[in-house]
Amino acid sequence: MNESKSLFDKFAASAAVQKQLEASGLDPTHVVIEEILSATEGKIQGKTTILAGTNNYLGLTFNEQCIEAGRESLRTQGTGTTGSRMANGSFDGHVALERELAEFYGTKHCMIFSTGYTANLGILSALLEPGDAVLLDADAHASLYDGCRMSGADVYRFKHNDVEALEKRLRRLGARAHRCLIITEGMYSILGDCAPLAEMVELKEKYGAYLFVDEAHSLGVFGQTGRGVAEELGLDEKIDFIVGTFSKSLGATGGYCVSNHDELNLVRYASRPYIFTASPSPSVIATTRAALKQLKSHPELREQLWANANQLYTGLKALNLHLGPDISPVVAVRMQDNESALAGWKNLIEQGVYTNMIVPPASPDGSSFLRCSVSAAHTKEQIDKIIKAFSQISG
Amino acid sequence: MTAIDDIACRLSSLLVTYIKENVADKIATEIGPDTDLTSDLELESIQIMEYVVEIEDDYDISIDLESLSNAKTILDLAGIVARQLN
Repeated sequence: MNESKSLFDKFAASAAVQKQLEASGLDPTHVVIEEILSATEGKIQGKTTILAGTNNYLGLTFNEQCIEAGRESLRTQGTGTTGSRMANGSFDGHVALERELAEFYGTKHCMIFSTGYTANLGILSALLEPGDAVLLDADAHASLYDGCRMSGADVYRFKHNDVEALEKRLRRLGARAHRCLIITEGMYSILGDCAPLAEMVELKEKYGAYLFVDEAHSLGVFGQTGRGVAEELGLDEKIDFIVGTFSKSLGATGGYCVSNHDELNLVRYASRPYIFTASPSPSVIATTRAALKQLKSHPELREQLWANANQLYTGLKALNLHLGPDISPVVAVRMQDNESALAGWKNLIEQGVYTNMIVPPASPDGSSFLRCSVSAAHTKEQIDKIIKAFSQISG
Repeated sequence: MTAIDDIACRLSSLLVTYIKENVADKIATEIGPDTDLTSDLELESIQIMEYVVEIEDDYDISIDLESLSNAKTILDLAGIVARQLN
């Protein structure tokens, strides 16, 4: 039995952390960007700062076509939908975006959600029920854990990207493997490493399970047309459910799921995070549709993104910093401990570089990281400045 | 000794081995059925996860997250293993 005497006792540990962060000067969890100057620069504490932790992979947040689409939508359709699609009806843009995403992926169906988080919650909580089994990569995003928990299914975690551990758990399920959903991400958000999808597809076929891939960080980044890691590996058609977000490469807010399973359309009737949430605002849908067009018609953005990723990764590697395993637009520098991560993060801010400080329990293996995400909009000079700033801190 | 006691004894032995091999700054002494993994040993969540994998592989079972969330002591874990084996 929990011996708390007050409703608020549980916040004691958080309060201690908050106090410690506040005492250190600038709290990395409460950074205010006072002015957004461009997709890659903002003002923090009055100082022009390179934004190297935004997930704005294609740099589309200031794209003229996207802004114009949003402006026109605000003018003609108003500021919001003021309710859910089930209750208030869909706007034409919701349906159009679902059609365009399904065409982009070559799938029969698509469902969109108001955020990436609710996309995972909405699909998993409706797709799964008690008695079903989930094999979940240990480093999966919190929204995937939460969606599974909400469903009541039995969730078994396997070691990150460990195919052998996955197979052991599939074998142990026996006949239940036919009611099992394997959940992984295309590219992982902290270290930028990718799932071994080819081996996972082999296993899901061998045991008759289903495969769900979250491509939140890989949309617009991987694949010949930017569909993600599954496309990169030629496996699109083998994946049962692909989810993603509008809030990274597409520079907006929202999430989606595409699938060839006809049942995806029935999820609409069972998904509480879909039914009981206001649908995306029309201007958000308009900028997302415009950004998707940009993603499709400007492959050079992806080429620039990878050139920038290469520049940053090789530059930081040359400093003998401890990085993730693969070159990717997510470059994480492993720090010795939380204190050195905080000190390094503050040092970078003072030098005009904003990164993400990642510490336990949010970090994948109990380590502390300073995480950068590269944008196609970063200039060569900005990347050089980021590398130079890191040379002034010690891991 | 009951089946659960047997399992708890085995889990204690597995934990001693795990700590010796993986947790340099802790001494694996006085581990028993009532040892609390978090409050007594101050194991981090990733270390508990690795220890649970050792248990799973030893018994060739899988333990679901919901069951684990209520387990604090070795005896709690032994109860979960016993249920799986039955």
